[in-house]
Amino acid sequence: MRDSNPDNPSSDSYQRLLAENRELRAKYENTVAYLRKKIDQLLLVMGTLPLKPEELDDSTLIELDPIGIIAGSFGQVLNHLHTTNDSLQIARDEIKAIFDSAGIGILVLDSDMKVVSYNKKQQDLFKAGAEVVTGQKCYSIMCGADEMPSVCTFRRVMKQKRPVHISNWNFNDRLYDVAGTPIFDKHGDVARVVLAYMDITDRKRIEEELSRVNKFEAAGIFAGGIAHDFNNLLTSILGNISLAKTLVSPKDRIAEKLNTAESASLKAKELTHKLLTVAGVAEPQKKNISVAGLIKDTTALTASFSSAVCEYRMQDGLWQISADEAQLRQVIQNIVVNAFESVSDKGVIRIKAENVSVVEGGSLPLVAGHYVKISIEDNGCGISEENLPKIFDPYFTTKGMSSRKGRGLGLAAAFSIVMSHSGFITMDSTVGVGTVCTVYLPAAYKDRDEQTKVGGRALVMDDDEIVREVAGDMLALIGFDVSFALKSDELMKIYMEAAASGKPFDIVIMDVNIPDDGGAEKAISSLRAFNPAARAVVSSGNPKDKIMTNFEEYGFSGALAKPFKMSEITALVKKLSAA
Amino acid sequence: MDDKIETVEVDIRGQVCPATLLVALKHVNEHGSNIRNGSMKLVLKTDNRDATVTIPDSAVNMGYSVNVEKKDNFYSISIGALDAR
Ligand SMILES: Nc1ncnc2c1ncn2[C@@H]1O[C@H](COP(=O)(O)OP(=O)(O)OP(=O)(O)O)[C@@H](O)[C@H]1O
Ligand SMILES: [Mg+2]
Repeated sequence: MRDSNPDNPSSDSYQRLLAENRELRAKYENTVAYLRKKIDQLLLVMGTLPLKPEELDDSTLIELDPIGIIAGSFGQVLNHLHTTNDSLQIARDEIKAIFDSAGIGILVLDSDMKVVSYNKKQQDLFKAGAEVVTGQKCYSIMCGADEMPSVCTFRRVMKQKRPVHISNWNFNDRLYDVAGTPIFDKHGDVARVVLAYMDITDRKRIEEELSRVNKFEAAGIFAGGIAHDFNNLLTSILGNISLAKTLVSPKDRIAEKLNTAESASLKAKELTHKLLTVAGVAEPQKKNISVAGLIKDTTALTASFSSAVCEYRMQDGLWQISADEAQLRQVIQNIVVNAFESVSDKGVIRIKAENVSVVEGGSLPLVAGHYVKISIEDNGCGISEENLPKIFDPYFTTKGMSSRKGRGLGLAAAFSIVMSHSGFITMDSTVGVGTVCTVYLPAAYKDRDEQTKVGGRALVMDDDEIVREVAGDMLALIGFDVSFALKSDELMKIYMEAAASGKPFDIVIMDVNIPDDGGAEKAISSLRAFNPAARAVVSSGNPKDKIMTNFEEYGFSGALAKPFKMSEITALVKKLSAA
Repeated sequence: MDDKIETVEVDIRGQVCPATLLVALKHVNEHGSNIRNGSMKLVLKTDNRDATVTIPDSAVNMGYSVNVEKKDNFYSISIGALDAR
């Protein structure tokens, strides 16, 4: 009979319970071991160290609910990963957008100098026709070389293992600032090199222009100071020479010497005139001008002395510009003369004028707006790279100092005038190929035609050519548009025509004595008969002349002693226009 | 701003809690949303040297900012929100 009392250790039930207990314990241990293993795995996945069994006994382990805790933490880890991924994606898009919209070329190379990526702007630097650039060696797609060149930003970054900067790198005729930056892997080796290319060609050019402008300001103040006095002295010299000539017979040897002195003084005067313009002393008298016609007739005369051909291409509907006509002629003349001087018999000069709109932030040092662009191109000798930066400097010339040619003021004057018109002038040239001079001048506003008149129109009557020229120059300098007459009937004709055309003269200056003519006395009575309000000034080399001393009785508003002095002519004209 | 953040200190030094990391994580989970929105900072005191590695590792993976300081006879691990944006 079997004993079924469980309290009896030898009983069957007791034995069965023991076995069950053993089995359960083993299961429990397995479960705990399994749990520990899985918890450790989870902790490792979370990126942290596993638990140490001695830290945590089995029962506490179960009580603590480690799976619950880790599951909770794990949920947060995943959430955090999601947000991190999202912001990474945004950051990547951000970088891509910056990369592509950057105004500089960006190239990323691996440590083997193979292209990993590049932005849009960088494509301009690749060799024309380079295909599937990614994976190619940098030197082959950029420099077109078979191996790494000796001067190379990449080479320097790899060697120095730190950011490198190279200024004024000349590549394909443009200048770049290059910045190379290494990116390191976790072992501290250079994994990538980021190269940034900033095109500084235009900035450099503008800097050069600016320094030239500064040089001009200094030279201008200096030149203006002496040129003015110099001009007055020369006027007096010329005036006295012409007076002296009236005192000797033309056949006299003294007359010959006087003629030589006169022509030398005239050359000196021309020079001062250029100097005054360079110095910006002659303020532009602006009015609306159609350039096409002005260019053609200014050029025609120069062209007639040369066997070179001149071709014109003027845009239809060319805008008018607001400029000083005489000064503008000088600009065109100076440039065109240079062009003709540079070419041989087979020379071709191409003159073009077109409308252009300059936008904000362009490469030209101009305010945004409408401009007329005039370009004068020749196929002449060209200008060397060394000389090109100096051509606008006063007194820079390659033409030698002999004869009339080559004082080196032509382009300096042109530069100064263009600047005072808020325009821009630039030269491009290749030796042996030719030169292009480009001038930008601001277009006039359509609705603006009324300008405050400073000067006006003047008519000068004198039989002496030099006196006419001197008086003309002086009046032009203070803003007058000057016409000339040799005799009184010519004077009347010009005066009446001007009145009829709606552009009457504001002032008339006339010489007392004109051979075979009634002179000032006759002229003033005809003038008064035509226009009782006419403003006239009498002039003479003899201050004691009765008309000079009693000018008002004769109907004049003023008297001017010869030789003219700039200060006197200015004072008189000012007094008369104020009246 | 700083004074508006509530600081909750929990002492989990050895004798009390055998598995520092799990206990720490339990506290972090419990206060998770408050720490995350920046209204609370959890400071754990522990003398378990390993925990100065494991707790910050886990907390950083979970998206918190962690700062460990050594005091006289314990470590102070403060857990807060990632830099408030
Ligand atoms: N179209 C051109 N082709 C070649 N060289 C030119 C041209 N224009 C100017 N140059 C160069 O620039 C220099 C300066 O020109 P610029 O007109 O200022 O003086 P210049 O012609 O020498 O003298 P000036 O104008 O007083 O008679 C010239 O001497 C010449 O070397
Ligand atoms: Mg010249």
